[in-house]
Amino acid sequence: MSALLFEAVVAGVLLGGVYGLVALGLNIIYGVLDIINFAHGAMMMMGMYLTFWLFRAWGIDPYLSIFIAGPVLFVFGAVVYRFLLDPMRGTALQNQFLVTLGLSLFLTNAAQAMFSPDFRVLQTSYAQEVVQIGPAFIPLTRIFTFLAALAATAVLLFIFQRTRLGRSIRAVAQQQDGAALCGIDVRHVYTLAFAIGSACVGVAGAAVTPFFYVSPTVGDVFNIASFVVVVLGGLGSMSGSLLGGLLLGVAVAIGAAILPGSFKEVLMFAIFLAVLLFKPTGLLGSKA
Amino acid sequence: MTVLAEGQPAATGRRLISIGLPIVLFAVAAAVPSFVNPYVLEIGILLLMYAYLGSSWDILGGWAGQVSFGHAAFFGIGAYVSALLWINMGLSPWFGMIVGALIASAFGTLVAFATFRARLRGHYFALAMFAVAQMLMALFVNLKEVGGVTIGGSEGLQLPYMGTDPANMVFDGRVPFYYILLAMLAVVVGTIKLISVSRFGAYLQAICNDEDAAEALGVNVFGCKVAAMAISAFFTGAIGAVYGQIYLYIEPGIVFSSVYSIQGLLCAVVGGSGTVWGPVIGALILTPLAEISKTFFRDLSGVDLMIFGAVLVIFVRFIPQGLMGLVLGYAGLRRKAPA
Amino acid sequence: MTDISRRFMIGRRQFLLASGAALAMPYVHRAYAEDEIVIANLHPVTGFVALDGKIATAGCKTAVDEINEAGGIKSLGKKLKLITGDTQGKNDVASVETQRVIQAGAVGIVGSYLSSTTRITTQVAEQNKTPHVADEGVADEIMQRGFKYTFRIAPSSSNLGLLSAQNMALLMKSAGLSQMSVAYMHEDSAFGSSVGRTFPEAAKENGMEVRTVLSYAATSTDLSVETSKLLATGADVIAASTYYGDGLLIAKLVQQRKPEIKAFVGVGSAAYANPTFPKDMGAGAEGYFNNIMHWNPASPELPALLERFAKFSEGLALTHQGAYAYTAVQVLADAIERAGSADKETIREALTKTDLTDHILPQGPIVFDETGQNKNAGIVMLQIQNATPTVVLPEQYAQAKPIFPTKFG
Repeated sequence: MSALLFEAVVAGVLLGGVYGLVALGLNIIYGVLDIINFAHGAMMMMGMYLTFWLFRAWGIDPYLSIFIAGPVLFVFGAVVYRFLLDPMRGTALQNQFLVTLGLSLFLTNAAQAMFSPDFRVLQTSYAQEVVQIGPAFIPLTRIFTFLAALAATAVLLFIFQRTRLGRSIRAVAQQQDGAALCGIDVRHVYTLAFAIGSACVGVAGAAVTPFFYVSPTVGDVFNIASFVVVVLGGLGSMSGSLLGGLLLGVAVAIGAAILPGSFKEVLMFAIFLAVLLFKPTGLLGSKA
Repeated sequence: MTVLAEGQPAATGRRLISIGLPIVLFAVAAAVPSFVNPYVLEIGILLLMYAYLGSSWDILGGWAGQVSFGHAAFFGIGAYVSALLWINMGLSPWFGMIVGALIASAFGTLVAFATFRARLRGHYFALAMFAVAQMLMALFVNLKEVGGVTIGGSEGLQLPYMGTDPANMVFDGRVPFYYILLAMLAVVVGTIKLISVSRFGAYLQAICNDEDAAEALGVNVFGCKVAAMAISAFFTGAIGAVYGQIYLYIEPGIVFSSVYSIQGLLCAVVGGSGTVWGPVIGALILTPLAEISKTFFRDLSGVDLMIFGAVLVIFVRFIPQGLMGLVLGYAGLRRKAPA
Repeated sequence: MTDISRRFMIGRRQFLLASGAALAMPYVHRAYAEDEIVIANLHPVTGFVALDGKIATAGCKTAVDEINEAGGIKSLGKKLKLITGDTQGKNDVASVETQRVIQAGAVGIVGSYLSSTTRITTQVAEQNKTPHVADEGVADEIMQRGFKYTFRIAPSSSNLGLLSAQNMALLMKSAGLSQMSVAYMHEDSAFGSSVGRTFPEAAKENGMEVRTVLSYAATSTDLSVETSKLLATGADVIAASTYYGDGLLIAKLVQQRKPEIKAFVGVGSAAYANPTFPKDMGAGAEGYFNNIMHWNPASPELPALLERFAKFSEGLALTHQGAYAYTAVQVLADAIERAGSADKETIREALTKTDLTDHILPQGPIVFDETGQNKNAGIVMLQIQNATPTVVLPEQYAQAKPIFPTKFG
């Protein structure tokens, strides 16, 4: 049993890194724009299909595709923001929600119309390699993906903490009017924030493709988990996303190890609700 | 309100119209089954169901301004309570529906206490509701039986069918359900209309516009929000029970699915949330839209939903206040859209 | 306050709008010629099981094309016309679509793959006295409601679990084993749970030791812990009831562990017999077993069928979803032929007397019992051999001998 628990923790941490990156994207968008992007999963699906086709057509390694999927989703995010969401600023919560929901419906079904509802899987030469850590056998792809997610997260945190761009984004997130007075182009910053948030799922999508399947509805699988992570780490807290991701990954994996049936799904939402009710700012959040 | 009556000489006439027209229109809607074939009637049933879900959702989401992403929780509770009471205790679903609605309402009150006490607002509240519905779904999927009572787990419950049995709300055709839903819609729209002219409605609007300001003015914000949730959950629970009777089969993956959370929200927003007729109009637009795009793109799977998604985005993008809001806005009668 | 009262007054405008939309609604399409007999197929062509629904629809189109090319319904001198309804895998949509196709003049319905929607489409068909031949929709209760117009080709889920266990017992004997331990997992939706309810019992009755039974959600992002739990039991055989994506994840995880198990056996799994499975798994797919509905590989009609199927399938490979939908259309057409009438009641009576020997399924004649269930419904055990799903049991349909125990890694 203890071997199983150990393995659960390792598997949880490794997947948690991906949750963290997906949630970070969601969180940047939320923190700066106050929008919960329900199309987040669908955009991740775009990144996954892109990676899949790049591999199928030109044999581009999925981990290299990170550098393509990220920028492509960045541009896509910028376009979506400018044309769909920017005009909606200041309207009711449910309207922004519906726009992202409609977008998600559109993207999912466009993928189905174009690529058929077929499940697709990448076969890299190293897909079946396994590393033994203590009593646990860990697929090599999981480790690569975890490292990629961690690196992407680190780059983003650096940008946010240390660069001029990051400072202006944070300034807008904290005080929109004040930032505008300081000469920051608020609309530009909003567009950038949405684009960066989208790029996160592009990267995450590319990074999970080596060990996950691709299908038009695959985004839903990650979408719900990323909501939980965002709340767990704190809505609007960048570093909270990573911590939340790791914690959720481990909690769910341990749940899978010790709970009967699929109670780990119940556990996930129970954590979600408990955090909302007792510490709505999340573990590291400050914005209530 | 008295000010208004004095200030407008035509008020009596207008009031007559505003009471008379709904009656006429419900009468027209009541005549529909005699003119249409079962296919159109089936769409009519969906339309009424969505209009009803939208109206119920809007009591909390539009009037009190507390957007919920998880009304399927109440829908599912209503469906399960009524079905379980019927199967295990022989209680007619006519009563089961009421019990289901009451339990959904009690559960809603509980959730409201927890979430509103924790001062959850906006996105936090919306996501909390989403989690509540998802958690109930995951829970029912794993509940095979409790204390000897079969809950069915993910396989759900097949309700008995032995031909028409009006005493147990089982009918061989869909026409009776059309009328049941129409009557229920009349009740919920009537309730909203009553709320809209009541002091309670005014409080809700104040809360919707600015919660803190309302609090400062002495409105019992917490109490009003809990009450709005209780009413909204009650109505949503009732239709869950009727859903079970129409299709005679419920399973957690269906009755707790986010479809029933989102349909209501969708109709309310498209039609105009926080208005008496908005959700109904939203359903009148969206249900045929889905059906028409399906008819046109029958051979290209996925394209119809793609179009539906696109129309939704364009609609909300250009008419964010909803159709009713737009009309009222042109008439200069609409308050500022709730932010 | 004024605002609220005024809004109360505006009622009539709202109603004008509402009534306009209501009047625009009743559009009806009744588009068929006099020399055609309309039948319908209802399948989830979009949504989460769209792949299966598209294959099933292609199967129906294939059957209709074949029948029409051979002269249509000869007793009536009419061709068949197929209309397709998309259930989206949702109950309320399924209900609307059933009404639509009945309204469009369908004298018989084939569908609707998922158990949940099949409960609904058969109910609506029953109320409209329209014959409904269910292709799959394996939930036991579907045939236990006393419906007169419902017929089902596929075995029930209990039967699926039972037949799977019997196949595994045969496998055990073929290797000269006197006993075998099994660790079993099933996805937790209606499909997996219903098979998961009967399979472990049946396995015990057939002389196997069941070490553990666990359920999981098919939409999980990770199943590595669940897979480890199974492997940790040290059972000889891992058995699993899965959908496609989750089944693939589990297979890959098992593959990576290179476990010392004798076999991996699917129980009604959507993954392990699918022709795309070897493609997605690479060489690691070799040796996987699956107990599943299938066609008779020795059927003389098969080559022509595959060729015709390719015309309608948009590149998708034939699976049991397609084969069963195809057969359901054949059964319906056979009944219409014998009825010599487009009258739904006459067709229903003809269906009860069905005795179809000329079909592609791995079973004896298709005959319905008094509930409408295909009495001889059977399944086969497939094994991936040389990257091809190959029938290995029962013997009379087998293309090759089972390779058991299987080597992993």
